[in-house]
Amino acid sequence: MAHPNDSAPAQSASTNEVGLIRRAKSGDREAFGQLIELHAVRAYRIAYAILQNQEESEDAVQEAFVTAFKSIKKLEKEEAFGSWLARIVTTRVYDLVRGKQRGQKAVESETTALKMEITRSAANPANGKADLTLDLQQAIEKLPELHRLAIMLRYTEDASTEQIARVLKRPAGTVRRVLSESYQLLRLYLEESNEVQ
Amino acid sequence: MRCSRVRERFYEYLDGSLKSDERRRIDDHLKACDACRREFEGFKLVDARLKQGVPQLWENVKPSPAFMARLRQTEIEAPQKQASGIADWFGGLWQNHRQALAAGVAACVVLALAISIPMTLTRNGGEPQLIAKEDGRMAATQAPSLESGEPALKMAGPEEMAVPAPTPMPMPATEQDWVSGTYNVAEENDGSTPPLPTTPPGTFAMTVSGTGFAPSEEMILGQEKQLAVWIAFADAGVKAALQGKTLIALDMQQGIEIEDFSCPGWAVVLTLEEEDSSITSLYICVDIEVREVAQMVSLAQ
Repeated sequence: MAHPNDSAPAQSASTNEVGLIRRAKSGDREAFGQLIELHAVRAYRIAYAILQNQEESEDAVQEAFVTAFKSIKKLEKEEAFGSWLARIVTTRVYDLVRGKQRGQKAVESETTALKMEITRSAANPANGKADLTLDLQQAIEKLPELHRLAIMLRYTEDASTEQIARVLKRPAGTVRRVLSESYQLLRLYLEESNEVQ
Repeated sequence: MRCSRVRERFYEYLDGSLKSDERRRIDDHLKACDACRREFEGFKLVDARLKQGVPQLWENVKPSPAFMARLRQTEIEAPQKQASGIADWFGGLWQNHRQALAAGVAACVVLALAISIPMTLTRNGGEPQLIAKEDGRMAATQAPSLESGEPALKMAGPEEMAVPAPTPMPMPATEQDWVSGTYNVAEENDGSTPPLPTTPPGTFAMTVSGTGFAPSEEMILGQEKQLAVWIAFADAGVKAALQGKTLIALDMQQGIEIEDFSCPGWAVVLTLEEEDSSITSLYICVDIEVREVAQMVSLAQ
């Protein structure tokens, strides 16, 4: 069996992959299995970017693949399989988030809190500096869920605003705002930790 | 061009994906605005740091070694059915991951309802039915006949849902209206302040194929479908699209990609008869998270 492909095409399926998708749509389980092999790690990373929990992320991906298997016949744009699957994963993940009563409102609250943090820090540079001394990983982990996933897609898959919007199921304008906020927050964190001067 | 708008486009400005006229406007703004120019210099430093560091972090995010094996063992078929040949790929999860399987199987059942057994506005006397209980969950029972006056699937009211309900809107008041009736928004909004129902529309018959269905916690997904229908019919655009047309059937689907219509979440699909007797399908994509209709298209059949 092939090893999972860590660099599975994010947004556009290869010719070979389109063949697998077509076979899977016609009920070829082996073909669907190969698609799982190709996309499992990426799907996991997308889930993890939001959930930050290995067990929950694995559960979410497993359930997302069940959904994908059930729905694949409805996929018309085979070359967009990666984006389609990513949306299924994020949908499932947000189901979990909502189930834990940490839905979008909580994310927005978190964003607001972080903005307040920026304002407070700007007003008094010494205030809270120790808390903001973070390396890149910690800084990204501290971002709100949606912001974290947008940054990951942007910088690991070179995804455009429109491509990120399709995965996140958000308007492009929302993605621009999310990326802009992410940049401001990360800049603050990294400047505080002297990573960016 | 406002500073905030310019700064929101730094990413696209840097990667060259902006249209030429927008790029020119940002060029002009940066020449004239010291604050945004400084901000852009700072942005480039952060961008470079992220380009260098994020892929490395991403590479370190990996599932557990057993994850792939677990995926291969995932059972997709419903538990009451015999596992088919798909067990080549999806078998054995019962023994090792009962909890995960329970959730997955429940999701399958719901998906099966959504995908292969559309919610149709039909009479289904004698068939097993899903009935929404007062606590918002659904239970299997015999379908009441229309003559009984009982709804086959009563929509949970907004107060029963865990999320805020959208604004109520005029709805067909009786089951008969939903079974096959003319949905005339103009008639219901004639300015005479018709009474607005406080509960969502509600008399769908949902036929369950097979027996032995056991509702579980995961049937919360059923609530999502109900909520999607409620949001769809509360939308002004949908109301306008329904005006004067006869509702023939309602279907729920997930993950639709049709022509220009892409809906990864729940889509409410209405089959409508036009005044000239032609039939159209109205696809309504609902974003449950933000409680709004994300997209709507009408396709002739």
